[in-house]
Amino acid sequence: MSVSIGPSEAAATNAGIESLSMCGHHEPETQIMRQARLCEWWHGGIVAAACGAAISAAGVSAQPPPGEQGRPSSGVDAAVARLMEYDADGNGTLSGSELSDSRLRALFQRADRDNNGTLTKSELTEQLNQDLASIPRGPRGPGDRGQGPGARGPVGPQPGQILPPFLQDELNLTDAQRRELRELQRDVDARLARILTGDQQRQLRQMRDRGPGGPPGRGTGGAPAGGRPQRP
Amino acid sequence: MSGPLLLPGRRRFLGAVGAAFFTTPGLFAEQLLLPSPALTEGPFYPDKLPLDQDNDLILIKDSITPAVGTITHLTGRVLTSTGEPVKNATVEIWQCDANAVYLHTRDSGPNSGKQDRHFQGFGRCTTASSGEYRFRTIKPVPYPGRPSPHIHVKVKRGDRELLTTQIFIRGHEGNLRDGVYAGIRDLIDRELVLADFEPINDSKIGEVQARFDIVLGRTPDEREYRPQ
Repeated sequence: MSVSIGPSEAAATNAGIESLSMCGHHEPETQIMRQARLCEWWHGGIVAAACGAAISAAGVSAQPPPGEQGRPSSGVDAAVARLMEYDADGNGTLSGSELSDSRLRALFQRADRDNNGTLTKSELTEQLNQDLASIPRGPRGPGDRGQGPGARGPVGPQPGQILPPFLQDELNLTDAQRRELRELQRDVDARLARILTGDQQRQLRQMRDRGPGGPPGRGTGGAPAGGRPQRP
Repeated sequence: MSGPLLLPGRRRFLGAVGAAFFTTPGLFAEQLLLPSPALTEGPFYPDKLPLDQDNDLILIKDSITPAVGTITHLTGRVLTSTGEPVKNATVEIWQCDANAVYLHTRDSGPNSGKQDRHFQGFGRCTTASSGEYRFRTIKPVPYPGRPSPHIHVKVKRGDRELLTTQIFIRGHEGNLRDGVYAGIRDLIDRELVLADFEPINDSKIGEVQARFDIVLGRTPDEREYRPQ
């Protein structure tokens, strides 16, 4: 089954391949899995439209390849584990002097329910779950409420995109519907290409697909560097 | 203990050798700070740098007309992961003006009617020996497609870029609707890009201050910790 790839996807793929080779990923894989992995790396687990359309066309769900991310699936567990590494005396709680990073003071105080100057794992877990649950609903809201950032996060609609992937998921589109949507998207892309000038198309592509501005890499202990859609 | 220790990280090393070593003064006293997460540069890093590139974005050169917006004193330190100050690093910030127009031909061209010509849009500062940087700018506002107000930041040494990220307002309702902020998978990383924009009590014009420390995962001359 052939996968039709538009110019934007091709640009993303090519740029992504160059960047990825710097990360030293060389295991053999199919073209489809490479696209999935590039998109996952680029967008930090968020599938953007350009990648989402190509991957849905191939019938592959855009999950990160197994083993790519070694963290637990719930964002809360990962975050708690990350902070509990600061438990220097290993007593299972975090004191203000153990977690002395001023940038985390707000979280510390928010989570310290009983206000006793120490954070237990359960206080931390409860606070982070609460933070996640406060994700607002609505047309611009993320599609993965309650799943935490370990699952694919939200992505805003890209210009020219009819229904971003998270919306397709939210609406529970059938395979047939997704196929028709892909065809509609191809029609829209084609007509838009006739409406816009070459320069305008290039600009739009750059906005969607430009790679990281800074040095690429897996990032340090957190989100992948530069793996974000190009948002102002 | 005998033999070379090949454990990759300080924390795993500590876990392996047990509690006795916590009493060794100075050796493990400092903790590694969490590195500031990198975030997308976005499409509007200025393509033409303004004539005035200082750290005061409210006033351009000799102009006496300030930019529109809530005056914000943005300060912080650039640190290594071991907490040491990074001096002589260049910190750059850029953001849209109070009318949500960026200083970039692709944005200010089409939107020239709305652009606040008194807003510098971009600023640069060199860190002091304490690692401190400071800017005077406006409190960021939302931008179409970006419900979360933010300030772009870039840290460089010479031509070499060390980090590109963004500063968000703690508690702003737009954060969780924003594709970039809510796309930060790690919940702790989300904390690390937040700053409190707090009113300055003495200010008669409603100025605010924001403190944002930047921790670099790697610096050009940082020596890697190696177990003895």
